[in-house]
This record gives sequence, C-alpha cells and structure tokens, in this order.
Amino acid sequence: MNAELLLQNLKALKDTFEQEEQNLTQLDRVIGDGDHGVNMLRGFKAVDEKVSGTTISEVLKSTGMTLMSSVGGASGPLYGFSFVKMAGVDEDEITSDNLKSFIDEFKNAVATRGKVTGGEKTMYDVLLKASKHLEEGQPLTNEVLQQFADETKELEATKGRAAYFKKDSVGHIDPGAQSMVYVLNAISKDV
Amino acid sequence: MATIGIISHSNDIAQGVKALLEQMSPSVTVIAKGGTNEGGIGTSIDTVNEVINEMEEDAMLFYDIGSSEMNLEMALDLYEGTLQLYKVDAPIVEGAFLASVSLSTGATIEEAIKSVEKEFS
Repeated sequence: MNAELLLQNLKALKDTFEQEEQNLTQLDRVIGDGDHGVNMLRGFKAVDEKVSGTTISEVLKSTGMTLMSSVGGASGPLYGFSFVKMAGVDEDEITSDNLKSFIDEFKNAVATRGKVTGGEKTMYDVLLKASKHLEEGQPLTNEVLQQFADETKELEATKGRAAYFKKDSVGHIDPGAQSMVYVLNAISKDV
Repeated sequence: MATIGIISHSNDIAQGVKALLEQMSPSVTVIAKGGTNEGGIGTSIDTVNEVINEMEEDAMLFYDIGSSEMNLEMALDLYEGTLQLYKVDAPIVEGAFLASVSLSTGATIEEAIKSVEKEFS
C-alpha cells in the first residue's frame, strides 16, 4: 500500500464511522459514557477534511495530529499519539513484510500512553493479538480482527471508563476494541 | 511563586475549581480550562496546550479522569519551553486546593508537591 492508498483508506473511515456510529455508541453506553461513536466520527470527519501528505510517514503524522485535536475522549490521545509514533517507521510503502513494524509501533504507543498490558478489555487487546497473528505469519483480515474484538466480550474491564462497571462490563465488546477493528483494517487491508 | 494549572473534562469544573482556589488563596495564579475544542464534555491536547502557553512560571498541573491525564502527559512530553511543569496525581479539587494553600503560605513548588503527595498517595 502506498501513501496515496493509505490516505484514501484513512479518509474512507469517515464513512465507516458514519455507518458504525450508533453501534459504537450503543456499546459505549453499556460500559462507558456513550460517546465513542460520536467521538470517532468527529475525529475521522476531521481526518477527511484536513489530512494530507505524499509519504506514508506524512500521512500517518498528519492523521495523528488531527485525531489528537479532534476526537475528544481517551481515544484521541491513544489513536493520535499512536499514529504519530507509527509515522516514525520509515518505509515507502506498507507491505506484508513490514506491516508488523507498524502494528508493533501502534501497540507499544497504546501501551505507553494507556498504561495497559493486555487482558484489560481495551483496544490494546486487538493490537496485541494482531501483532501475534502477524508474528505467526498469518494475514490480518477483517474477520480475524473482528474475532479479536469479539474476544473482549468475556473479559472484565480493569482499565478505562469501563473498569468502573466492574463485573457488569462482562458480556459486551469493548467499544475501543471495536473501533480498532476498523482502524487496523484501513491500515492492513490493501497490504 | 508557582502557578496552578487545572485541566478537566468540563470547563465548568475547571472554572469552579479556579474560583474555589482563588477565594482561599488569592495570591496564587490559577489557569484553568476544560472541555473539547467545541465546548463539549471531553478533553483535547489543544486545551492542555492553551493552559501551558499561558504559564509564566513553574507550575503544578492537576487533571481529572481518563483522557485528561493522557492529554496532559502528551502535552508535557511535547513541551519545549523552559518552565518546570509537574503533573500531580491527586483528586482535582482537593489536590489543587491543598497545593494552592501550601503555595500561598510560602511553600516552594517542591514542598507543595510533597505535601499533596503525602496527603493523597
């Protein structure tokens, strides 16, 4: 995937989040404050309007800075900071050989900023599993990513706003894990 | 004397804490902002940067839940100025209140941070 296609995929997330806004908001209403759908849509509307760049690095950095300013919830700094960190991976294209470097940078950034280690029912769980999946030489498909998000259903949240809901958080997919499916799909689907 | 910075999910909370501190310790400068860029409930790194950009002296920075801490940490990581800025982990109202009283009674910023940490750790 070259920079142009990456830019196109990231801008297309505006449409994805328009479609999924209600679903994400519903997930977040059960175990959070019900604004994840609105926040992500606001972020990617801004990405659609403002992001530019002619290299992979420029596109990722511009996306990160835009998300930081416009999302509004915890996903703002988490996604924003991660895209900025991914911009540090110096590659001309995202390929099946180097995709893991981008995902790992993403994963480490979320771990640093969110102080998570995995199993806490957050977006990080999807990243951790995606990284392991790539390490095993398997391709990241939308189905695989969705399965990783589905697996957060059985976990009890111990980080983020959902942690306040304790046992009541079990039985629901984490909204951040669900939005991560779309974001990772945009980065990996044309690789 | 040091400044106190307040970052909240709600601008009303930020302004409320500022009003409370200023009544108890009017000599301490308090810079408080909250909410998203659109004025809703939430936080943004821009809000934190606006607080930091108004600082003219070393400061203790207080935050409330979740993303305000992440945005504050990120803004401090990216800060390139010369002031000493400290993120303080304490309840936003009680922590900032104790800090402002400490500063107003002549404590240094280090002493004020210590007294807050002692009370809330």
